[in-house]
Amino acid sequence: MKSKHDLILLGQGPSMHGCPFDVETWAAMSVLSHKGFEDKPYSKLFAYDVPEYKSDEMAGLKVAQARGLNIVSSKGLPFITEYLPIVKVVERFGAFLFLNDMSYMLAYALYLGYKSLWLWGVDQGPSAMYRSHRKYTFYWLGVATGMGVRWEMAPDSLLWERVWED
Amino acid sequence: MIPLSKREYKHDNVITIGKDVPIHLLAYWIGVLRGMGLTCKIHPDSPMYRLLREGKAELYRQSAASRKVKDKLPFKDSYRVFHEGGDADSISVSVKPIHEIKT
Repeated sequence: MKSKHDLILLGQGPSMHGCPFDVETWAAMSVLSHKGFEDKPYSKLFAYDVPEYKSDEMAGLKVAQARGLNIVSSKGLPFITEYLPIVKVVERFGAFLFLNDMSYMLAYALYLGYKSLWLWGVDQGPSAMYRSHRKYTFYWLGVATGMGVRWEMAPDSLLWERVWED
Repeated sequence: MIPLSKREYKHDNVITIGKDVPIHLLAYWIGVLRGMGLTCKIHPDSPMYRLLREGKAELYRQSAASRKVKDKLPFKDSYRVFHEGGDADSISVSVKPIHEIKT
């Protein structure tokens, strides 16, 4: 499937596997811990968990550092290479509604002016923990819609599954 | 139904949403309104109120600015940082040693 979009945002949900990588791609750092995703082209990796407490984040960090990839965060993690200007992002959008990597990725993409986004591996499920994060992802998708930014989910994303349930 | 009065909020429109609407869908549509640049006030009974309450962004901005200043101070727990306005790039703060603050 050829990309009609400016930017791919990649999470590590079940729908990550069809990601085409044919345009600029940002990903959650833990994506690199998945087999087959270690050597893909990424322009930014987002790190919001402490690797010492999360094994997939640690595995992703090792790959990212070995490849010299750009690691973005607004947390004071010692290994980041690009600071996400969170205060400016908050000031631009007037809301501090962040929790998961994808909420930061979406807000930063909107802040930088991307006009068309394709989201892969953004399923916010099936586990209850990820489902409880849906409000953060949905909020920023709503902001994108309101700003006229085009966005599309991976065709097999579970995000819309049981969308009427809390 | 949440009784809201137009006069109370002085807005162009009041939208009442049933309590059975999932919070992520509510979040989506509030995001759409905000993305369109509309001012959108949320009733304090709504579960979105706490998440998006006015002043939360401002508080974050202030605490980030004070952290930046405090981190440069020796014995940083001995000082308090006071905000005096400004934007994200040039937030203005004053710093006082705790023993000089009258309680």
